[in-house]
Amino acid sequence: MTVAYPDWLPGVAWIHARYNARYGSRFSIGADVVTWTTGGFAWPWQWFGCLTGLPPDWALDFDADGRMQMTGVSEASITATDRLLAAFGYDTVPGEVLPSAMSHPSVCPSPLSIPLQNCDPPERVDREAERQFVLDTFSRGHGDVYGGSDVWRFRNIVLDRPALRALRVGYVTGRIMVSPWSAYEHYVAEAWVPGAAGFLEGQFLGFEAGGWDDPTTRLFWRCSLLLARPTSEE
Amino acid sequence: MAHTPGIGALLGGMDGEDLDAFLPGDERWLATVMHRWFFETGDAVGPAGIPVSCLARVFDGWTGTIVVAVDGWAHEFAPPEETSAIEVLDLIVRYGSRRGGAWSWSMRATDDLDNSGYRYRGIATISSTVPFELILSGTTRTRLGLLGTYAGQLTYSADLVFVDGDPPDLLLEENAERVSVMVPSQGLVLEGAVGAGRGGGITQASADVDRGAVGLERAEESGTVTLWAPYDELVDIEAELAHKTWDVGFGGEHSGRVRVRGLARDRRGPDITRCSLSAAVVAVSL
Repeated sequence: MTVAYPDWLPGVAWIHARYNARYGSRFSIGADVVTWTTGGFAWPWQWFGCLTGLPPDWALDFDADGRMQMTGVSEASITATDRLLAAFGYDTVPGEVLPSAMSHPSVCPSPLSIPLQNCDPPERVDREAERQFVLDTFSRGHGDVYGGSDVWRFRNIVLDRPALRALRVGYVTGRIMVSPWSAYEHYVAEAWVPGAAGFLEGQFLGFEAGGWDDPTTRLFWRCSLLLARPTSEE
Repeated sequence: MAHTPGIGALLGGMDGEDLDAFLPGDERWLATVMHRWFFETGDAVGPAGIPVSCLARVFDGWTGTIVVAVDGWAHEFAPPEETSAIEVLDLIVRYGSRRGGAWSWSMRATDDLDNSGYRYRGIATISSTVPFELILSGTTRTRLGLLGTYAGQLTYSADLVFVDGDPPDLLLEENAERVSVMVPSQGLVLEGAVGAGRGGGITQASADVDRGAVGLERAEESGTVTLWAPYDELVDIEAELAHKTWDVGFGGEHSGRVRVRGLARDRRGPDITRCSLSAAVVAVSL
């Protein structure tokens, strides 16, 4: 058959962003209203701790591929009250009711946990040698946006179309993390350290121009990403 | 000389009629063939050998609602007032999949010549791995051509090709009906016209706390849609394309929205009837 929805590819690396409580704060499992109680921001692996009102016989977890799972001992429907459920990767619109089941897996990449099909290790951008950065600073007129921060470039970031769709929701903003680990791996890992072998966390500056790997099918998008982080942090 | 058997093959045209690569017995463009070879793992939706790339006109006047139901769990929604068949099919498939099963849509050209003598007009098929129900109303029902009763099956095909009776374009008064979906019989390719966000550079990086990503900008980006088909079909497609906005679908997915700015026939060789059609387009926001 043709490309079936909801098919998507698990990542070999991930862009994680933080949930902003302003996006939404509740959904229902059966008659139980689950509420987001924490203000501010939360990484995907911190979400479960931000929710209250979960029915006692229901549990939330991540699959190894980054998919979220809600499972219970009896069947229940799930109602998306606002955009909270969509942020988890359920692709729902507010008011939508998901059929009664004992297990509810997310159906698409979360817009806050974007799977990448490839991601080269980061390179530090030489802001003096790359003319575009000098010109940007010059045309800005009042210094660099991020002062003396280092800018890191991740080349050969490859996203499939479901990942691009998740990206276009627009939640990848502010402080993000480019990581070789899925939300599940972050959730279960006790000891992970930042650095060249692990994730890099910083301020998202944007994507640089990219292109389709094969423009005739438009399945995979290849681009590079810029991240700023204070020079003192390695 | 021995060689390792392949798991696939690139096939060249052998009939001397065209230098593009086709599958024998059915003219499909190479990219389409490659797409199907790489990404299709099961039986094709509908008859084998059908084109899977199409163009759907974006226009207003979409009314009514669509109810998608699986096992009694229904969801009702209204398509945007201005949209295309591709976008509506995408919505049906997405809403449907949340109620169970893996869903897909496909577009093929009419099997028979229609009243105007053309084969390229699109017929939609919606499939799922679980039985489902569809209830449509308003112009959405007629424009998709889904006029029947749809319940308890895995696959539904539209009854009619996608045409509507909107007032004819001033430039094309001879065409009383506007074709809404076109499936060029030898395929199409969309180059450029990305329409995705791109970095604005460090200078323009600024956070939109509500929803926008830092430095992501929607920029007008030009591109080209190239279509291959027999000459008569190309001439008619050219008349339909005009200066309209179209959605491009590849392999049962919405791939981009473009606005046509200009059209040109590119001859291939001395025979004036052997040509492809190039449409200069710009990406427009979804």
